[in-house]
Amino acid sequence: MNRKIKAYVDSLFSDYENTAKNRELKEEMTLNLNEKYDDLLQSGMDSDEAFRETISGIGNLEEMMGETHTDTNSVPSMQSGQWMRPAAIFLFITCVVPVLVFDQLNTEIVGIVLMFVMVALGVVLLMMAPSQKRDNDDHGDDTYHVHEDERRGGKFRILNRRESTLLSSLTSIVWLAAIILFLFSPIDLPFSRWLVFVYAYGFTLILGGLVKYLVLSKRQRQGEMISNAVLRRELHHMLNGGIWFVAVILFLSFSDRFSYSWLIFLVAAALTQVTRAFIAYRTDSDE
Amino acid sequence: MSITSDLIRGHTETIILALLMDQDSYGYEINKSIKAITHQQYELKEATLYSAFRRLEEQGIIDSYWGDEKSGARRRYYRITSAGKKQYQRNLEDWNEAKQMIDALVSRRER
Repeated sequence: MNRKIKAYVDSLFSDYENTAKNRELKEEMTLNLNEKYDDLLQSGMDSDEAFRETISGIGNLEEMMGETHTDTNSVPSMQSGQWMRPAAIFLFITCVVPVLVFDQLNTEIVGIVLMFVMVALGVVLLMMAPSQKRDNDDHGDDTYHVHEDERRGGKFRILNRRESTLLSSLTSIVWLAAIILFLFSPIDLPFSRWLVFVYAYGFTLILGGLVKYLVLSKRQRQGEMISNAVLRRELHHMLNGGIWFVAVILFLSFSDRFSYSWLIFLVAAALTQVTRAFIAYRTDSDE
Repeated sequence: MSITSDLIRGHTETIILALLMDQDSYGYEINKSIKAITHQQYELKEATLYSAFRRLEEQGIIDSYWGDEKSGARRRYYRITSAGKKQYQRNLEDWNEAKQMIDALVSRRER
């Protein structure tokens, strides 16, 4: 038994629950991989090459695991960590309360510190909260839906759980930095301070786009096909976010000079409809 | 070659059934057969293979059992059920029908 292979399979399955079914799957997979590895060694490859070749043939576990979760036993709402998400949202909403309370008592610093602690707690809770594995595919009539299942089931989510947790943490850090900048920045102009949050939003857009691009190109190099529909959806998302971002910046910049600057939002809304129509047109012409 | 892979992957289940019609088999052996039959041109990803196994098993088209290996770990074998054999025949007919139609549609005829 090759220890490296077992370790690799273990790490692949670490994202998922330790059910009996999954354990059996791990066992089956490890054994098959080992046999493949041995065959490759026999055919003359050296151990590193054989290992790489074996690993690269595994493919995307996500689609396989998503489908094995059609267990009617695993009802998401009965998981133990379900309180975490609501608790985090509660913390986020009430985090200003300490600031207000301690402001009255003239010890503002306590309030601010408490606020940050609550926000940080909320972020940690969000990161630890179990994600719901929702099944996207209906397995009613499978024999000729196999093709679509694999494309849709696997590529519906661009990022797997670990990757999207990473992205969420990065986004939270950006927002925390924005809050800190807002509270402690030396700039005194009224609108410039709020602009920090708008820029933070723009930054998270770019960050998200970058992470997804990196993940997708890594997957493509591993030989997976990414469906065009998903790419287009992400692009559409980013475009919309970008349009609104620019609109808010322009509005805030021009509002003191130009009383009709709210018109910019009408333009932005129109632009989002245009992009939507454009994307839909491209989708139709491709099918 | 990527379009071909897609087309082949769409028939993963029928392919597995065809192999199981001959004899019971296990994951890696099935992939080996596929490689051999396609002259090393085509191979399924493990994830694809196992998804197909689970689906087929859930529908009662194949059965699985743990083999008795003389030494080492146990292997998971699959066998086709009688319902599976009927399903295979249906799939084969569908494919032949599709094959004929597509051939007729994409080939050019002498005018």
